[in-house]
Amino acid sequence: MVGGARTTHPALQVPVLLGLGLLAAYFIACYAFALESGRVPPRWLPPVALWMGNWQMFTLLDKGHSALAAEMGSEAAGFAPVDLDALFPYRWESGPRYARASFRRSRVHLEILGEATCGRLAARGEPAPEAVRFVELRWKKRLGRAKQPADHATRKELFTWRCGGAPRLPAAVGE
Amino acid sequence: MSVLHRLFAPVYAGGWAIGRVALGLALLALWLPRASGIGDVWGVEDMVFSEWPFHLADHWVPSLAEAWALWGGGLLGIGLLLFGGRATRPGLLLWLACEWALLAAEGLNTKAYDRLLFWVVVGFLVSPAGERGLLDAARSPAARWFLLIVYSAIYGSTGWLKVSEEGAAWARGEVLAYHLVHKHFGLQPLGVWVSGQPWLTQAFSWATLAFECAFPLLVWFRRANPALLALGASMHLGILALMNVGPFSYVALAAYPVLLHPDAAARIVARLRRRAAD
Repeated sequence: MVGGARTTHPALQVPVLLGLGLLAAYFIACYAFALESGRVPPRWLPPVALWMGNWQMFTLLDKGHSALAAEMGSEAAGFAPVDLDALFPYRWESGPRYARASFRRSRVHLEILGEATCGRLAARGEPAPEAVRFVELRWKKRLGRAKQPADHATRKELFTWRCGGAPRLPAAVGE
Repeated sequence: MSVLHRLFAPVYAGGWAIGRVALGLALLALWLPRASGIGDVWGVEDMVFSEWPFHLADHWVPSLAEAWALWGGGLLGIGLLLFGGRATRPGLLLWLACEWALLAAEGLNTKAYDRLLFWVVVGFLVSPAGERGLLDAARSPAARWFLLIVYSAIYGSTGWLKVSEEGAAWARGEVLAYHLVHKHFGLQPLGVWVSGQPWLTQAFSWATLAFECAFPLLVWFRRANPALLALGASMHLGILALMNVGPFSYVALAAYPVLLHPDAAARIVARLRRRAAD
């Protein structure tokens, strides 16, 4: 061969094999402890160590849609829908930044999104609402249909944020 | 001849040269659209989160200029990777640092392919991919083994998990059908049609399960390797056509030239060269 033939230095061959063996053992541990339900990882193993080696992709059956919707206004005057997609346009393939269920479960995240919604509405020159209310919508998926209307969605009110409040932002914000 | 001598016998390294370019193009497809998030996701102070496993925002929030610098640094890294030679490793390291700085700053949406890419990039860092003239060279098989272990982990774990957690629904094709109409990952025109064809979703589901579960066992064997990778490439191209999973398919396919058995890779390159010469 024009480019020659070279390989791992003999002194490194055993360490390389040991390293590859450790890598394989790491992934097996990730599968056993991070993915399979019902197995508890040992206390000395931090969860972040397993996070880099677990891949759960489209594994579980999910027959429903869920989404976070926002409404602005006040208890006295009533609430009107807010187009969150227009205020926060960046989308991952998994949807907007706030699409994941873990986001909806976090009071701190909803506080931050609430104040950001108030701020971005004001920045657009729209009248500042008194409050922003977040609602979780759930509705059935329809196989073979391009349109998946949420017209019979179930609503669950999650949280109402009063604009002008102080959300629990991370420590370095505003430094 | 000792076992070690036989194990570490140099193998055809042309896959690394092709894989380097494929990886560079996959990274470009991932990286360019992220610029549209600057000013909305990065470089703002209203939508900043500190969420496990990232608590970067408790210490540093990138300004608009810093966000652009990170994105530009990543783009430069990809350019260096595509240039090749001695620029390959610095390019990969630069891109990796910028990618994870932006992911940590965003905090909420680290994808499966981001973690896969971490391992793929590490594999390329310890590989001979930075050498010129690899299409005519043989090198140590160790870095290829690294990627084979990584891909065995990703396919094996996701396949076995499907069987153990939701085996019956997968066998009926139901899980796939409902994911094809997911309002973000799905709803592609062809995918919507397939979701309404139970015989097709069932066939695709069985093929996916067979491929993912068998991969860690069969990919090491010279005879099974090319056919298995052809099935894997079909699966990823199918995902690309039926779903919206961003750059996942490109990223996963980028390392396939390396995963291909070196003997098969050498034969394919020789055949292509003969055709080009005719």
